[in-house]
Amino acid sequence: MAEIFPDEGLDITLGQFPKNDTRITTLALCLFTSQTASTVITSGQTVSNITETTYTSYARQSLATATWGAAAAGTGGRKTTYSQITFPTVGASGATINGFFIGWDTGAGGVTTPTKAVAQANFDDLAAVPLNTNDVIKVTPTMQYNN
Amino acid sequence: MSETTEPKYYQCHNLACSLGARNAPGHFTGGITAAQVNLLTGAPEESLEEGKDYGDGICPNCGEKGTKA
Repeated sequence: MAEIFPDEGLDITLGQFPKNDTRITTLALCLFTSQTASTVITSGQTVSNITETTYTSYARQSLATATWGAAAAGTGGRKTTYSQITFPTVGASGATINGFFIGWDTGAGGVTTPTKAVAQANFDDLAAVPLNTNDVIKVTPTMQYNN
Repeated sequence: MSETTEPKYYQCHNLACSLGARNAPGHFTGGITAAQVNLLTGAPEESLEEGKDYGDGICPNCGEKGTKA
């Protein structure tokens, strides 16, 4: 699986620790159709290089920082896992999803249009997910820092 | 982002609905179609009323009316 904290995402992360930027309490979990099922943006690229899906009824889902699970062992580092997120049932028109990204709106936070990509990842099995009418996609995001 | 217009967002507050995470209301845009309500409940499409049973603001996952986010 390809995954990345682009530079703009690392800046946000460093802003939270060790710096003392205003605490972020809500991020948005988003699905993307750009790049491929096994590739993501490069370090210098930004949220503007990511195409978010627009399948009928799609909406970003909020990620409350308080909901992330306890830190646990991950291969090469430590990780935290969020509860499984269900996205809205696909309406009239579907899409092919290559993975997810965590976005942040520097102004309002929450699920408003992200102005920064904190991180982007493909799915574990590197498979694109074709969504057709009445399909439901569920994502369990995990974030890991390596030693 | 490649989006140019922000869609209208709704929240589903049905605790039994799987949308979003378990402890937070899920978000959706648009709404359930008559065909999806028929699939979900078995109610014939002809008996459904737009704006009440299906359409904008009705959760596409559970068919309950949502609120503007």
